[in-house]
Amino acid sequence: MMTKQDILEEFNEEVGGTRKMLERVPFDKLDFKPSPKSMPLGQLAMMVGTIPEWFLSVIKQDSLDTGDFKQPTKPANVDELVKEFDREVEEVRKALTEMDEKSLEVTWTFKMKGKTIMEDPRGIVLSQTVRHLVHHRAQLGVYLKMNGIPHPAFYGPSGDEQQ
Amino acid sequence: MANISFKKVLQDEFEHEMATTRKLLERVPMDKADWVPHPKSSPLGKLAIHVAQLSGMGVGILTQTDFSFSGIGQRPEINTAAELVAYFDENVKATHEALEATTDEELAKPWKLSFKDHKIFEGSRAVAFQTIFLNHFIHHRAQLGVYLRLNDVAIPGSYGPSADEPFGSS
Repeated sequence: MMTKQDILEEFNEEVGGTRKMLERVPFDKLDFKPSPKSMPLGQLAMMVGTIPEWFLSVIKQDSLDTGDFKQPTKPANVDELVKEFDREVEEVRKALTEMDEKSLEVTWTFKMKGKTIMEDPRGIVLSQTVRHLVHHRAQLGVYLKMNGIPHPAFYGPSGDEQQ
Repeated sequence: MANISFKKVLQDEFEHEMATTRKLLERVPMDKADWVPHPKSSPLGKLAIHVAQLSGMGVGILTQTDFSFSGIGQRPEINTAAELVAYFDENVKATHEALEATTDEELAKPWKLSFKDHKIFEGSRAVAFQTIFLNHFIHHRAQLGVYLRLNDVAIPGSYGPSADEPFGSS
């Protein structure tokens, strides 16, 4: 059966790689967009850097409405981006360790202006949030590559690095 | 302990992620297989085939206890989106069947991955499935999504809307 330890392990597996990616975010290129429809690099980097907050919303509340979402404070430089990520990661680790196993079964709801968009047991939402992090982090990797920044190795070596 | 079968979680997640992926693969412009966003990047065709191939990686994780590979196996000759999707479907079926045949007990067992004697992962098989397989898969699919966006292909949403498909469009 799924346990909070499983979720913590999965989360921890992705933290190191995410940090390496964030350390490389070029603060002089935050407006970069690979295409007109794409999100700018700065926005994507912020999203990746503050995804741990999403985990906290899932752990500490039973629902979240997009209307309640608070814009995180923009970091002034890459050190602040990474420092905030580190801080949030520690909070997530603590919250996961302290949570009750049974809480994983409780239904968690995602709403948009009061309308339910998604509803699942908390354990499943937490797992999906890891995947959501991986997805956006991978996009960020392509953005960085396009700006000549080497890509960290994640699941085996990358074109730039061995693991 | 929470009454959440890990097997069921993995099955549901796998089905969902493969359905999303299929929509993306159907749109891959294989006539632009040589396109790269950057000289050091993987070309579009190679990345798309890697994504299609990776969907079968679940089999190794579910059926072997000490998985080791010194590189990706032979890639098939694929020239169209239809061939890409057909190859993907075969690999998905293999992982789907392996997942059907496994149990929660098997999923809780220890699992290890090395790359040329270098240890990459050690943990439970279930977490290996999510990390080494699913997350790895999603990572490359997300990259492919950016490649497609850069080639003006409309992208389906992965976790909610995309810039081409807002909420309520699917």
